[in-house]
Amino acid sequence: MSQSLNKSDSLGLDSGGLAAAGPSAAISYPKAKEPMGLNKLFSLSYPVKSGIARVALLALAVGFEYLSRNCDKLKKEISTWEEGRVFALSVLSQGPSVVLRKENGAIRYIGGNLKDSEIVFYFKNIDSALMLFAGLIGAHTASAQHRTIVHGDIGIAMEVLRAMNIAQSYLYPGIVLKKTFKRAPKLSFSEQILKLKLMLALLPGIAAAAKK
Amino acid sequence: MKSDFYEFFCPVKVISGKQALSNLPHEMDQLNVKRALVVTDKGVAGAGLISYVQDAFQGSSCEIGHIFDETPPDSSNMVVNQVAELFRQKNCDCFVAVGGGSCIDTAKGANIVVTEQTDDLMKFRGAERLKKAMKPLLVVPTTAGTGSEVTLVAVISNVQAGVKMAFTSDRLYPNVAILDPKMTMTMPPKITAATGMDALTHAIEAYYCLQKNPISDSLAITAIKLAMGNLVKCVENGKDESARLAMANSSLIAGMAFSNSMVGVVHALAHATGGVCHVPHGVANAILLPFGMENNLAKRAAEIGELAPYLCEREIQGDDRAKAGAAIQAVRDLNKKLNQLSGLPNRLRDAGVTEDKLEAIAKVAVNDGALIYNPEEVTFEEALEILRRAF
Repeated sequence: MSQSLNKSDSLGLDSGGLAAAGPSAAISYPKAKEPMGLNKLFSLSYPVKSGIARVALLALAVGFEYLSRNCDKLKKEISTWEEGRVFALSVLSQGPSVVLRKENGAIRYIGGNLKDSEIVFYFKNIDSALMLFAGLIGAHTASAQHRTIVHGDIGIAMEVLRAMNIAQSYLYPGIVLKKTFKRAPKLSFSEQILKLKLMLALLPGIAAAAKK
Repeated sequence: MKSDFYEFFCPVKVISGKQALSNLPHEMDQLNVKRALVVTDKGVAGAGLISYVQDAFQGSSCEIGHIFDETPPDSSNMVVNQVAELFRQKNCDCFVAVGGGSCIDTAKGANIVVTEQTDDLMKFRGAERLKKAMKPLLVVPTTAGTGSEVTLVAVISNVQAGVKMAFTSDRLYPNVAILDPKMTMTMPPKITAATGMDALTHAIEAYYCLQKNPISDSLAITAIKLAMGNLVKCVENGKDESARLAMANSSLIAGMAFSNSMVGVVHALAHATGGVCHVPHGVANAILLPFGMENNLAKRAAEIGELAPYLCEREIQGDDRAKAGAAIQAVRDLNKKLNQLSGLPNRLRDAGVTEDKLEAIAKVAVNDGALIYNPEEVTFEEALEILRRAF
């Protein structure tokens, strides 16, 4: 009786290994290993991770501001942007955000309110943001893996992304750029000097930006 | 690793085969809807294909509320708003798109307008902004190329702003795709060739672009096999029902693949070529595909080489580079054959592009979102170089 019921219930579908095996003892799993190296980052508490992401976003904002005034490549890239363009990076759903605006030909950090942003790059969660900030993946990999999404016009987003790549090339060491860029940028001697100057300006810049 | 993290999603029910269209009212019933707004175009209606759709409703409690047959080749926000208004006026409860990519995108766009109760699509541009459950959308493709019947994408022009608005959302997947060979039988040889090459381009780019994954890989290979075995047959004999159905499947399966793995430089350049010089999308893809594959050889020789057994007529010996080279040559040979059979252009100059437009195309192409997923970095100068070679 039970056998015939099983047959009629199955409708030709495989009922699945566990169900077919019937009631059994709970499976015992070995204890999960402690994360190693940079992976330890992901086992930190959310407030700590959020704090790290905020500092990283501010570093990017400060880098953008500085380079938009001093880096010829970035100046050229944003020269075609309309004045007042507002773009932002943010971590979903309630993580940190930075909003930047083109003003008088340069980029200015204007705080964390996304309200007026025409383009927002969202990280789907804090770990995805940390993967990018820690130099484990590049921006294109984050997009390809759907760890980020863009709200707004894709054409404008591509322009912002190119500018962001230029800024990142001055913020990360060469070894990270080699791993995370499709084609690692090669900085000339004068560009290396600019990178050094940016590094010196970064800490006070972040401290000032954090007060906004 | 090339697929160490991926997402895959395709919730579309597929019904494929002879008289599959007859299932349309039943599928509406299953979705608990009764009154369809049919979105189509003059070409489809003129070919008598809408009468097949009307016939399918005989003996059914479901009905057609209205037929909108004025979809233009490039859908706009104005058309989408008009369709949405008709949907409300005629008390419809679902969309049935019958046509190519433009009809399907128009239905998707109108669905956003109806669901979000807006007339301003600009607010929803970009990725994953649509969260409300949408009205059911059933799709009956009449071309075999776009794959829009199984994709999460819609592209609509904004006439006032002069921009193309792109939307991607899991909500934009149709509920049902119906592939009936009689719906593609009247396609002329040149359009059959161009749309078929669009499908093949989707599959090939899906196989080597950055978002590739094990599921999209298997779909891409199946789509390539179906296209290579049937595209020429369809162009040679449009009445070959079995080949037509196989190509419809190739297009759908390639759509499933690229909707999850995205496309690369070929599409970025083809979108721009279409935008600047009004070259049909399939024609531009066909011309640019071998050049786009070559552009990615340094990083993707192994993947492109893996396609050689499905693209080439004979077995290819040698290393990845040799196999990839043979795969690219096979695409060129196919283009040449289609040119002989149908007049499908093989060079940009033969498709109405003038040399003075190449810079403008390259400029638009570097702002196309598809470039993110291309394995190789493509600068303005490199995009221009590819275009010059394809000219």
